Amino acid sequence: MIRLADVGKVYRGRNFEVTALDGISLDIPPGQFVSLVGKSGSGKSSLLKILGLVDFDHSGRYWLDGSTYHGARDTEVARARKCIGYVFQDFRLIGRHTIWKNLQMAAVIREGHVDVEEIRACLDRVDLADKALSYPDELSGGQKQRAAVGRAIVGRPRLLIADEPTGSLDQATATQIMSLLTDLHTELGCTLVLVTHDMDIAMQAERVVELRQGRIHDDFLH
Amino acid sequence: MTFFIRNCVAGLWFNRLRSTLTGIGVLVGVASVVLIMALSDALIATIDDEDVTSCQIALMSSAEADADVLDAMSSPDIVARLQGVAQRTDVASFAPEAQRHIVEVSLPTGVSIGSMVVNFTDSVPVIAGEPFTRATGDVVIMRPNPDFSNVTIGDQIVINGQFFQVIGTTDSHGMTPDTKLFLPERMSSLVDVDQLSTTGTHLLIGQQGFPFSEVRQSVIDQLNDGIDPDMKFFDMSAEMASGLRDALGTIQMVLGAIASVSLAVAALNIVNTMYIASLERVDEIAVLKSMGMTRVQVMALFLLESVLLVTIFALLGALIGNLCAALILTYADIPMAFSWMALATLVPVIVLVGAGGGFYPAHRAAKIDPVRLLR
Ligand SMILES: Nc1ncnc2c1ncn2[C@@H]1O[C@H](COP(=O)(O)OP(=O)(O)OP(=O)(O)O)[C@@H](O)[C@H]1O
Ligand SMILES: [Mg+2]
Repeated sequence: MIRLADVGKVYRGRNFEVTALDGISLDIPPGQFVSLVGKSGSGKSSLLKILGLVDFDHSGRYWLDGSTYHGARDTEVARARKCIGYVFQDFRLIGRHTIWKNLQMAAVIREGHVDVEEIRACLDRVDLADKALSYPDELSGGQKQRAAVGRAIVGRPRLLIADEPTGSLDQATATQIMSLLTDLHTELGCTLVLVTHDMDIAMQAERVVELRQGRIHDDFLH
Repeated sequence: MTFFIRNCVAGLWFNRLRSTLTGIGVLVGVASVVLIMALSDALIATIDDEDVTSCQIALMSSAEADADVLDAMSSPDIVARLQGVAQRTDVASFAPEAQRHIVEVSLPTGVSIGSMVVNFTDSVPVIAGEPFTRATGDVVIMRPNPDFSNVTIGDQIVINGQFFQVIGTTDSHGMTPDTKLFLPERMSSLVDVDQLSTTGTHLLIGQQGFPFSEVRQSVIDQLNDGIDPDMKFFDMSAEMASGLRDALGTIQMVLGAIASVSLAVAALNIVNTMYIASLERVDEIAVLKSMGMTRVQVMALFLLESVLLVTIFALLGALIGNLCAALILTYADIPMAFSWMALATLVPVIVLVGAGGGFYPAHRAAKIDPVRLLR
């Protein structure tokens, strides 16, 4: 599913140069649940952006399902992105749309049409059927993140990426979101790459990859 | 597609105050352009009225002084020409209509007879006696003229050996102090027109549905055929109409240009509004792109929104502009000339303004790179 070969990422500014990733080589088979751990600033988010086909400005090669999108045309990148569900730490719901509309947008973009039943099923799955017509501002943090997860699974993505999805939630809610994600991973059979600081959560994964200063420090299955 | 349109409507509705204000700019611009077009089109249409059945034919001399024209009008050649044409078959085809009209005979101190054909019922207010009846030999006298001051209704008068019965009198009107006789046009050939009126123009009247414009031209051609090259007969009505049309055209263009400026300002406003909208939605677009929205789709979304905004308010503006024009024209008693041409040109202009105004913001939005915005 995912193959990284010697991937590096350097942020360059006027008067700084930060090496965020350095020589990352990684193979993730389809359907695997991988937690990405590491100290703050170790390059986890940078890696996820590359995996999520958001950042192309890196060295090394990245193959997603055997294709590389470096320098690819916008339409090809867009088509590949449709198979990726991205869950952000700060939810990134569209504030001027209802939750239903947020999911509908995802359906239109990913599938080109709106399947009402599917959207209803996604909302049911994240237990927000009663909040369909609420606006994001009217939801709690946990509810927002569930909505965001619901949006991410519209169109049954094959790769689910979550960058500290519980980072801004309290412990109980975080546990709820985490079990939702792990359940979805088994239900959908998708690959799940999850960034977390929480070792307990990380240990729920089949595989844990630890980054340290932009390099893979540890990589183990259990 | 419907989803996209609904999304655009939602976008406009979300910022309804801003959309409305920008829209009002478009509305005012379009309304003023439409108003000016509708008004001037209606005015031009009244000039171009195809139902015209009369015209004034005037003699023009290259000589500077007016007196030369007056002299020319009474010169034997011109007199012969007018008489000749009046008896040609082309003009004779006016004959059935001519019964409704009369020849105005000007009678200054000597006896001079004009060839001016006037519409009796319109131009000769009979203040005493019977209205003009078309009966053979009926005349109406316009007072005062010392020679006719003692003539009363019912009298028989003789002009050049021809008997006429006076059936009415009318007051002196207009500017000529001359006494005038009004008699049926078909009588004009009976009157020996040895001295034509020095009035510079001759009224030609045709019947409704008569191919007036063709006959008019043939009359003018006949009059001009072999005339002294310094002189020329011309259709004064047509000249005046075309002069008026030119003037109106110029006014239309100037006012139209002024109105177009407000349309251009409205277009700039669209750029501004859509640009702000694109800035507001940077985060949103980043997320949508990360989900697989293409650049083209982002662009289409913004262009559609801008075109939608412009179209809605432009149509309203066109409606209001036309309504105002209709009101003004009704007030001025001028028939409304609804111009489909104007509408047909307006539609692409509107779409162009919308798409043009939305293009740069849409382009900016499409270029947003999600990498800077997602963490
Ligand atoms: N846009 C950017 N411009 C410059 N430097 C950046 C940028 N984004 C990240 N960095 C730098 O790259 C390094 C890795 O950052 P990254 O966000 O990947 O870390 P992280 O592991 O996700 O940290 P955290 O756990 O705090 O989220 C850091 O040193 C950071 O300062
Ligand atoms: Mg991070």
